[in-house]
Amino acid sequence: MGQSCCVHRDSVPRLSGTVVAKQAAVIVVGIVLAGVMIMLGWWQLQVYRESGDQAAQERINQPALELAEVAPAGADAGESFGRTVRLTGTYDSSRQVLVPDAVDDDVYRVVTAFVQDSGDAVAVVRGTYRGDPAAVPEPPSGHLTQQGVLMPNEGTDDRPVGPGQLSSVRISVLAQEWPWPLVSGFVTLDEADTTPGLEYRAPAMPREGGALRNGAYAVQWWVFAAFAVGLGLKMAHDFGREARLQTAEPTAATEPTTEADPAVEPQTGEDAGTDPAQKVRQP
Amino acid sequence: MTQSTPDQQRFVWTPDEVRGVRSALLRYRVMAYLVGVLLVVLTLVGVPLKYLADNDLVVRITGVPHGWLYLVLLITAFDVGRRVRWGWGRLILIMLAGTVPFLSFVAEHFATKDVRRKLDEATVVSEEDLAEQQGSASA
Repeated sequence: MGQSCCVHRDSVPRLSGTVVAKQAAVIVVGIVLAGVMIMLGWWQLQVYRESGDQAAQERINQPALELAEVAPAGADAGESFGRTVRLTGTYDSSRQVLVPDAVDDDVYRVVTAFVQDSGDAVAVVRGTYRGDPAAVPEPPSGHLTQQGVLMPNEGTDDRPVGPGQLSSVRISVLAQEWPWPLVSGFVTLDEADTTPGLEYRAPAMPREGGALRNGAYAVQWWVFAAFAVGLGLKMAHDFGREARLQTAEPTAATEPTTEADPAVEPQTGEDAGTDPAQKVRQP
Repeated sequence: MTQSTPDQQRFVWTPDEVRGVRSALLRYRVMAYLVGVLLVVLTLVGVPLKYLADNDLVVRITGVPHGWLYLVLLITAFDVGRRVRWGWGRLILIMLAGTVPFLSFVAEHFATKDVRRKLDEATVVSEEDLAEQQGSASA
């Protein structure tokens, strides 16, 4: 008795082909299963993202609210962000800024002041424009009703921009120049109301937490994938160790267990209590 | 004499180890039943409700937990298996059985039977006796 738990490598003959094949097979199976699980997790991530986008779109599709009612100047319009709103009044084309697109420098969002009948003004993204900033199409004239999605203030962006331009739609900056009380948010016009000559671009909705369940599923699958690979490696390692011990000690071949336990160890990695000396097998 | 097939092993355990085996077995059985019931509810109640009656409440409640609990089941199975020397084959079977409704109960039944038998047939020695045996064994 008293075999050492680790057989010294120099004294051990090479593993037989069958054992190596078994090791390889088990590792490959582990990797294949992990691959499948990674894809399942990826699929669940897509579902999660799509449900987030879907939730945002459903919000937009709800009946339009009157902007003057839900978001008077100065009030917190938080509940109405992401909703479609209707505004009535006139444009003031003398108050207009361009916001360059984050990706393409030649594309701008055109932000024009819209003075509502209520007296409050709101920044309206009339559409996107590509071309000479001096030749931006004018807004429609006269008293009219427009419809679009109410968006929250955009964050600060430190990009350098030209005169008459802003790096992001920030009401606080506009309020310094525009003489009216401003709604604390801005409106991106629907496709139907986009000024001819400008292009419609859907508002960039902050992705709501989609079905969190699917996000959790994605994480689960990836944890399982790691588990599958780990298990394959562990089994391969155990096959190897078992085989080495059997070749090193022929009598051990008839004893399924020795102090070095080839069978199982917990995946948690804890090795408490497996003191080799205690696993003496009595005849 | 020492038996050659794993399932006919006779174990020599200290009382602490016996306690360890019993509590590991209990943890495994609890998980096996928990996961088994959850899986049955999910597949036989939740899924039909969701796709036939458009009600995904049951799926929502049982879906995410059953994944994590299955992982815990695997850990408890490995824990008890390590103590009673189950081979990889048996463990893989237990893992797979946990994914099929009702099969985890079947696997648990046979697993518990095996562990109980090993507990019954084990020789329990005190810590001191074990130390003596090791001292007298040749290095």
